[in-house]
Amino acid sequence: MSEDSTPSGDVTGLLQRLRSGDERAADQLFPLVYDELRRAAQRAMRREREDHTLRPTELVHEAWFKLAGPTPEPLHNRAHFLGVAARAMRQVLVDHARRRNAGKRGGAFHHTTIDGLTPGEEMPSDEILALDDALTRLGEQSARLQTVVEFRYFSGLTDAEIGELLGVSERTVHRDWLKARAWLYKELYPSR
Amino acid sequence: MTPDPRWNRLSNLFDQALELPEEARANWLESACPDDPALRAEVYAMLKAHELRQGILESDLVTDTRTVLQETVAEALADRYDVERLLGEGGMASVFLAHERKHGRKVVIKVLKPQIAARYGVDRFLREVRIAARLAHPHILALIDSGEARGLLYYIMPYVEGESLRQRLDRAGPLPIRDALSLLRDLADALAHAHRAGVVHRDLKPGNVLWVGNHAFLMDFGIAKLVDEQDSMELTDHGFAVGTPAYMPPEQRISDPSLDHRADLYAWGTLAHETLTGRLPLPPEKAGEVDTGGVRAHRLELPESVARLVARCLATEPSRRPASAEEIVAELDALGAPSSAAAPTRSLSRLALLSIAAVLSLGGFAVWHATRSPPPHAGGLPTPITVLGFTNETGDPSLDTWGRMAGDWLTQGLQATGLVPVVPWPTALQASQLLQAQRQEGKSVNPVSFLREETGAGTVVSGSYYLLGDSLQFRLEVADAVRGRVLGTIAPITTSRSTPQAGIEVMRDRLMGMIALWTEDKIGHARQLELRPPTFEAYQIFEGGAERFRNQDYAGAMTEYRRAFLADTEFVGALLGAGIAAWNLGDAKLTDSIVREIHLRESKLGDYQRLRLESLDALLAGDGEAEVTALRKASAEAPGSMATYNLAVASLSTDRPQEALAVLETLEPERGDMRGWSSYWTQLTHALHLVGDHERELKAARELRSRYPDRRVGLTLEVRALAAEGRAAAIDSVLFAARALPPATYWSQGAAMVVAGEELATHGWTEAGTQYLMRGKSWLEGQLRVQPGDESHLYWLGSALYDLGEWARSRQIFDSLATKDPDRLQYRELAALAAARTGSVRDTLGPVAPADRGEYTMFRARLAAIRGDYTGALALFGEASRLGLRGLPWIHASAYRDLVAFRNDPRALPFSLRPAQASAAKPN
Repeated sequence: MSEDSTPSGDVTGLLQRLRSGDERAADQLFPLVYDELRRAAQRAMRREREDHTLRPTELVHEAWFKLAGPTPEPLHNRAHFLGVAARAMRQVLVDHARRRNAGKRGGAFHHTTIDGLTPGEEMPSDEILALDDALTRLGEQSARLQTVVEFRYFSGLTDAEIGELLGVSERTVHRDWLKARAWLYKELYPSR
Repeated sequence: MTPDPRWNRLSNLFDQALELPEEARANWLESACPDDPALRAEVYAMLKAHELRQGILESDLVTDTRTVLQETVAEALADRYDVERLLGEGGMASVFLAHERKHGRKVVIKVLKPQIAARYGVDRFLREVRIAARLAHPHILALIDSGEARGLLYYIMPYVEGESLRQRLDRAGPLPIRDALSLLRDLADALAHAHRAGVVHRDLKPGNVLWVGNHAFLMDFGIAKLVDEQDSMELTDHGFAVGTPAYMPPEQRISDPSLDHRADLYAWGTLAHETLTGRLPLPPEKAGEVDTGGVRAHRLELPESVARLVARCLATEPSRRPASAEEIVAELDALGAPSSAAAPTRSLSRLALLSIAAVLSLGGFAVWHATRSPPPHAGGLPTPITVLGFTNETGDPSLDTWGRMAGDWLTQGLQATGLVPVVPWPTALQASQLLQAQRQEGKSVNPVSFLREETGAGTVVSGSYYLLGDSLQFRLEVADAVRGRVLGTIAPITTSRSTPQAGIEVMRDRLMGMIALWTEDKIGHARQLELRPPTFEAYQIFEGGAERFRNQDYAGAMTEYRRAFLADTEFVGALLGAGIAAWNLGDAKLTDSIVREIHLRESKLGDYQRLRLESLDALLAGDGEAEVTALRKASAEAPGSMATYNLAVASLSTDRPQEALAVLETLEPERGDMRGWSSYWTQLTHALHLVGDHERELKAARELRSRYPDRRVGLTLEVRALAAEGRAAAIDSVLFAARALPPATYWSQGAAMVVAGEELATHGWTEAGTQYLMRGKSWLEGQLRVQPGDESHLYWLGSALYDLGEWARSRQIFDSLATKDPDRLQYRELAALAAARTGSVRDTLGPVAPADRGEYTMFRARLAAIRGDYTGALALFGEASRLGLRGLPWIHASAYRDLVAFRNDPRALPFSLRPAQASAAKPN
C-alpha cells in the first residue's frame, strides 16, 4: 500500500462512531488525519508546478477528500471530520513552528522544511506558538471559544457549519469568534 | 468545567459593548464596571483589539525577508527556471534574473512582494499582468508567462541585455539627434499601440525604457490605468499620486480622475526633452508657457518642428497637446525620423523584427495586427468565438491530449447553443498548435491577439489544467480578442485524474451558460447537451485519425476514426470523421454504411456536426443543391473552416463558379484549416478557370507549385491555365521543368500533355491541341510498356484516344478498366460514349448509385449531344449541375469532342459547357 492511501472505510466508520457520541473515535481519527495533513503538505511540496496557495485550510480540505473518498458526505460527517482536522492542523503547524524555531536557534536556518510548508505562506513561528499557547489558555476559560477558533481558523469552516456542528446559532458563532479574536489579540499583542 | 464568574462577566461586558457605537463604548464600560478596574482594562484592551483587527488571525500569508522570497521563488518555479539573482526591487515588486531551461535563455521574473500582495496590491498586480499580456508590440517588452505559485504572483519577461535610458543618459548625456529621434519615434509608436488597446502607461520615464542596440523597449506597465476601467479611483485611495513626479503632467499630480492618454504624451515630451538635451524641462508652474526655444536652446541643430512638437506635448492643458501618439509618430515620420523597427507595414516590421531578434537573441515578439475588420457581435460578445487548446500545466506530456479534448468539447458545446458562431475545432486546434510551436521556438506570443489573427476570433476561450494530488484542475478564461480584455473566468473545476471528461463536461456546461448569459435576449435557450466527451483512449486514437486526414491519408484516417468509435461507441463524432474520410476515398458504399450508423446515434452530434452529416446525406443522395444548402449553414456556423472550403467545392460541382470564387476569397490560405491544405489552391484555379480569369488562374497554379513543389498536380493546373490562353511555348517549358519531379502515376507528364491538348482544342487551338494529345498518347503508351495495366495511365490514354477520335481503341481501354473496377461508373460511361461514337448504343450502364446521379445525368447529356439532340443535352446538363457533378471544372475540356457544338451556342452560356473566354489568337 502506498503512503498516500488510507482506507477511507476506516474514516467513515470512525466518523459514524464520532457522530453517535463515541469520543474515543476522535482520538483514533486524530492520528490518521494528522498524518494525512502532513502528507498533503509534503505532496504539495513535491508537485512540479504549484498552482495554488498552500494554506492550512486547503490542506485540511484536501485531506478530507483523501480520507473520506470522493463521494460527497453528509454535512455532519464532513463537519465532524473538519472538527478533528482543525485540531490536527493546529498540531501540524505548531510542531512545524517548534522545529523551525529549533533550527533558528541552532543558527542553521534553512527554509526548506520537512512539513512542506513553504515560507511564502508560513506563519511566523513565534507567533504561531504564541497563538497556540493563548488558544490553550482561552480553552481553559471557554472550550467553545477555543473550538470556534480552531474550526474557523485551522479548518476553514464557515460560521453556519460551525453552528451546525456545535448546535448553536450562526449568530452565536459569530459573536464567539469576535470575542475569541479580541481576547487572543489582547493576549498576543499586549503593547498595542 | 465550572464557569468562571469573572470570565462570564468579561464575556457579557464585551458582548454588550459591541452592541454600542464604537465611540460610546469606553464611557459605557466605565459605568457598567465601576468596581473592577483590572477587568475593565481587560475588556477595554479587547475592544481596542477588536477595532484594530490586525493580527495573525486575519491572514495566513506572511513573509519577511528577501532571502526567503528569492528561495521561495526559486523553489516555486524550479521546474522551469533557475533563479540566479535579485536584479532589483521596486516599490511593489522584486525583480529576479533567471535562466529558462527549456529555451536556454535568460528571463526576468517580476514578483509582487508578498506583504504588498497581502495588503492591497493583488488586483493591481493582476491588472499589470493583464495589461502586459494584452500589449504585443515590437517596442513593448513582451510577456512570456505569468501566474501564481505558492501564493506568489509573478510575471516573466525576456531578459534584455542593455541599459535603461536612465543609465544611458546618466552615463553619456543626451543622445545623438538621429538616435534620439529614432528612440522617441519607437516609444510614441508603442504608446500609440497601448492607447489603441485602451491602456495608458502613466509612468513613462527613462528608467522604464530599455535601449538596446538602437532599439527601444517600453516596459513596466505596473501603474498603468485602464482607460475603460471603472475602479480607477482605488489607485489613489491610498493617498499618494501614482507615477514619477518629474514626468507627470499637471493633471496627474492632482490625481485628476479624467486623466487620459494625453498624460503619456506629456511624459513623452518630458522624456524627449531630457533625451535631446540631457535636462528636464522646467516644471509648468515655473515655466508658465514653454516656448519652442526650450529644447533648441540646448540643441541648436534640432529641427524646429521637433522642438515645436516637444513643446506642444508639454502643454499644461491636455487639449493643447497633440491629440494622439499616432500624431507624434506621423510628425516624426514626416521628418524622416529613422525607426529602428516598427515600420508602418506589417511585412517590413516583421522583417525588421527578425533581424533584431537575430542580433539580440531575444526570442522575437508578437506583433498585434489590427488589420482585420472589427468582427460582428452577438449581444455584447464579439464573434466568432475560438476555443484554444488548453495548456497542459501538469508537467506530464502524456496528458497533453486532455487539453485538446477540452478545447474540442468546449467548441462543440458552444456550437450546440446555436447562440454564436464558433470557430470549428480543427481550425482552433491548428492555431493552438502554431501558438505552441511559436512559444517553443522561444517567441513570446500574445495568445489572444495571435488567435484573433489566426482564426479571426472576436472572443477567445482559453484555459489550462494542473495536477492537484490525484485530481486534475481545469481553469478557464474568456477574453475579448478585439479589445484584449478578460471578460470572465469560471471557478476552477477539479476532477479525478482518471475521469477528466467529467470535469470537461462540467466546464463546458458552465461555459455554455456564461455565453448564454452574455448573449442577452437568448438566455435560457441553450440546449442541454447529450454529448459527453469520449474516453481518453478513444480521443487519442481519434487525434491520430485527424492527423492522417490532414495529410490526405484518407484510408488511414478512416481506420483510425473507426477504431476511435469502437473504443467508445458514444463517440459519434469519430464516426462522422470516418464517413467523411470514406467519401474522400471515393467509396460511396462504405460512406453510406457509415452514415447509416451515424443516423442511429444522431442525437450525439453537435449542430455543426449535424450539418456536416446533412451534407454527407446530400452527397450520397446525389443532391448537389441540398449539399450546398447544408454547407452554407455549416459554413455560417463556422466561417473559414473546412465547411467553407467544402461549400466552395460544392458550388463548383453545381456550376456556380462565381459563388465558389467568392467563398474561396473569404478563406485565408495562411490560416486555420487552409494552412497546408493544398486543395485550396486547386479549387481556386478551378473557379478562376471557369470564370475565365486565366491570369489569376495561372498565379494560383504557380502558388500551388511553389508551395508544394513535389506535387505534380500544380504543374498540370499551370499547364491548363497556359493552354487556355494558347501559350504553347510556356507549356513546353513547364513540361520540361516537370521532368525533374518525382513521377506520379495520376498526374503524370502524359496526363499534363492530355490536359494541355484538350484545353487548347477547347479554346480553339485545334491543331496545337492535337499535337499535345499525340505527344501525350505516345508518352503514355511508352509508360504502359514499362507498367502494363497501370490504371491511371490507361485512363489518360483512353481519354487521349477519345479526344483524337480513335474511338475503337478508346472503347477497348475503358471496357477493360470497367471490367477491372466495376464499381466505378466513370469507366462504364466512357466505354459507352466511345461505343456510341462507333454506332453501338448502350443506354443502360447497370446500377447507378444515388451519389452518382449527377455524373450519370452528365453522361446522358453527352450521349444526347453525340446524337445531335442539343436541346436535350442542355436540359440534361442543367439537371446534372443541379444534382452536382464532381469534376465539373474539367468537363468542358475533357468532353470537348462531345460539347464542341456548344462552343458558339448562346443557350450554353449559363453553363460551364464552353470555355468562358475564347480567344481568336493563334498559339505562339
